[in-house]
Amino acid sequence: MWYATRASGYTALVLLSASVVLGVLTSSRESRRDWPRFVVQSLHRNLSLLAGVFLVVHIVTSVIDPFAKLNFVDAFIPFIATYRPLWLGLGVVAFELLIAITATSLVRHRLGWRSWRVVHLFAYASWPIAVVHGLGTGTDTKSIWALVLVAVCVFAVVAAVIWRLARAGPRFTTLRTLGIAGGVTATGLLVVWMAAGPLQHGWARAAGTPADLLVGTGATPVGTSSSTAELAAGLSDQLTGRLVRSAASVTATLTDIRDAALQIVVVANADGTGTVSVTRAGARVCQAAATIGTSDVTARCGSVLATINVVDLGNGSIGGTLTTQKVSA
Amino acid sequence: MVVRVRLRVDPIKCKAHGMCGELFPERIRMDDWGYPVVDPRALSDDLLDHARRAVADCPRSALRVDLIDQPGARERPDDPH
Amino acid sequence: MDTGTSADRLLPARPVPEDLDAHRAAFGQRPVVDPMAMVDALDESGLRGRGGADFPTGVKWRAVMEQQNGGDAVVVANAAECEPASFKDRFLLTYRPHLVLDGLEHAAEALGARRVVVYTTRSHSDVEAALRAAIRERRRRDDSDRFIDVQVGPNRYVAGEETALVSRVSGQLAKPKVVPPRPFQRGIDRLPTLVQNVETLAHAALIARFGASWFRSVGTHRSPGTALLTVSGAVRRPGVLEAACDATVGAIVDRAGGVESEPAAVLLGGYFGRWVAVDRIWNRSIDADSLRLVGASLGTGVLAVTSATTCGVTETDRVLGFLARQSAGQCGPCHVGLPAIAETFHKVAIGQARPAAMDLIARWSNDVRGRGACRHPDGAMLFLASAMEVFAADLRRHLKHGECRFSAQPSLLPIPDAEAGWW
Repeated sequence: MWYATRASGYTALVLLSASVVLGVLTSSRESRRDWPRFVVQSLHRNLSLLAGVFLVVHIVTSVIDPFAKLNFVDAFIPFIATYRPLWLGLGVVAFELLIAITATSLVRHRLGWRSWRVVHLFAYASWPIAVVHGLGTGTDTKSIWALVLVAVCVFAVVAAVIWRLARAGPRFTTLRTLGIAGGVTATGLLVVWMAAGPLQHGWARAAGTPADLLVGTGATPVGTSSSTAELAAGLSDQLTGRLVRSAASVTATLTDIRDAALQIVVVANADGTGTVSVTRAGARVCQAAATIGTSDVTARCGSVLATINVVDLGNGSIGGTLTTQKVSA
Repeated sequence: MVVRVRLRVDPIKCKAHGMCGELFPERIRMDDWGYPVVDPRALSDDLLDHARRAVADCPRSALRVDLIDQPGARERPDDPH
Repeated sequence: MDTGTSADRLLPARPVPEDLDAHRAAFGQRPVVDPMAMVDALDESGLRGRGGADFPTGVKWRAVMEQQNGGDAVVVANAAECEPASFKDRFLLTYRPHLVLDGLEHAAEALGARRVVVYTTRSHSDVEAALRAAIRERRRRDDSDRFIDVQVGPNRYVAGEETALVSRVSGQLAKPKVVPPRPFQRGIDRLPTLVQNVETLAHAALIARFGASWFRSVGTHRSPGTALLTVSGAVRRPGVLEAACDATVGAIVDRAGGVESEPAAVLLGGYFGRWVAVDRIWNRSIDADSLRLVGASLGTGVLAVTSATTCGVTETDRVLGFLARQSAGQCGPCHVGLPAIAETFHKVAIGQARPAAMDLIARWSNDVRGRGACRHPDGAMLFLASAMEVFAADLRRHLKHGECRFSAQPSLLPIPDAEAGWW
């Protein structure tokens, strides 16, 4: 499902960029023999609508998919989501601007040109916000294809705007210079921000990805699925670790041999209570009360029942097995 | 009774985008400066669709299909002010 | 019928501004007239608008009555006079403001208008002052609790056009709007609005006192009564005159002292009017039927005479340039087309155009007519067409040889500078 979200997101961005380019070109009133103005305008409208369709798919799939734990409201109220709230929120802002632009365009003739035009100018805000949203939230941002795609979109729009400004009449010299300077500066800033932000290690955490979704301290692998959300079911792993006895409790610290990042700490108290803590790469996956049996420990981790068998190997080192199975909620 | 309609351009709204001339050359020709010269004759049924398309696609909503003989329209050529 | 002598009805015998006392002494109190009786009198009198359109006044008032349908209306005295060669309205307002205000009050009464406006022009500050003084006088004296509102517009050629006037008084720019609806249908405050030239209102005030048959006692059937004319150009005593509407052009010019040298052509009506060659116009009466035969009309009463030492081509060139600059800038064909035409004509006038330029001017002239929101481009093109006919020979010479020896003469026709300040 997350694939669908990402695919539709990038598609919507490409279509939106193409639409913005055509919109900018059509405003210049120039035309070529092979490309009548009404064709370019028609294409602009159709691409916008298509972008809108993909945008809706993008939003719906992102809400449905359990990965980012988004709900319906997060799609309409910016900055309240738990997943990368700032960058996601920008997407919401861009989405709502596009709703306004589309709605006013549909009733253009009744609205009057001036009102329509003011809202339509928000497209110049909506597009860059969408781009930054994509770069900030996108889990694909560091991949080559995504970078190339976004770079092409940005280049196309900036080039179109500069071309259009260059053709504005002599009355607009100030606006033209400011516009071109602004466009170049903005692109430069984007590149700098990219280098310092999304392309760096640790961006996912800095952007506000909830801790339980983070995978390792290295580069976030492409295609991270929802399996890191909780302890997987159907595991049957060997464990190794150490045992520490204190007056009130016994603490077993175990590492999963198969998945070295997975660490389990079992604390068995003298009064028969206990806890199981599971972490991955230092980030907590689960912490639950444990049922201490004679030779095994069980604990409920979300929808998974974890059973840990521990064997004393002497010298304080222990071995064991971890089995997990799905139980009904 | 036959209702006769014609195409009319609002000269104040028109900003010479040029869509109309492309979409309805049967009744609209462009002058040397890119502004539409609209033929004032009544529109026959087969031309109505083209007229409506031109009206819908004008970026400034400057075109309209109007009834012929509107009262109060400025028809006197010598009417100066 | 004696067509050569003055027929002073509107203008006082001596050029002394008349205050309310003098006005009352000359004309008595303003009579209260039943609305329908007033309109009937206007119909019978045959009075027509003196703001340039020559539209029957009674019909105009009736049209507003019909539109207001028992409801409210607005009446406006148009004192803008943005036609540079016309001074008659300002003259009338300086010397007989109360006659105009009487006429305005008759209109307000007949239409039951709550809002009464006089619209004047920013750069005519002395006229504005005279008007305000006259209004204050009436309020102090008076009888009517009717408040007359003075509104001021920019001195731009199209600012006196009725939809531009309505637009300005409604708080927007003094630029013409698309019709329909015309002001008599929907104008100021979205109410049916009567916009009437100040001279017309003065005539109406006299008709209310002296009756329709009195009004018709001079002039022709189609053009009864008298008219104010601004005689200018190569005359010895340029100024404002009042003449019966069947006076001849020659007689009128004689009253203005005649021409120094030989008269050559006459510009009739205004800068939207027509040039007519002297031999066709000199002995012609100024009534509408007569003028129509030479393709002209009285317009705003402008009568500008050129002499043998005037270069008609250069005068036309200057006026055309002025008209092009005075476009409101709203409609492409006028805003772009008029300057293109004016520039091409200028090149012809200074001998830097090819013969094909004349065809270009003819084609473009045809293209801009009827394609503006108002009739500014139309007026300019009819003016140009008349010049190309009357000064055809001169034009051919200019095309070949450039400026003639009279081109450097100071402008006979006034060309105001661009007004600072906004619409």
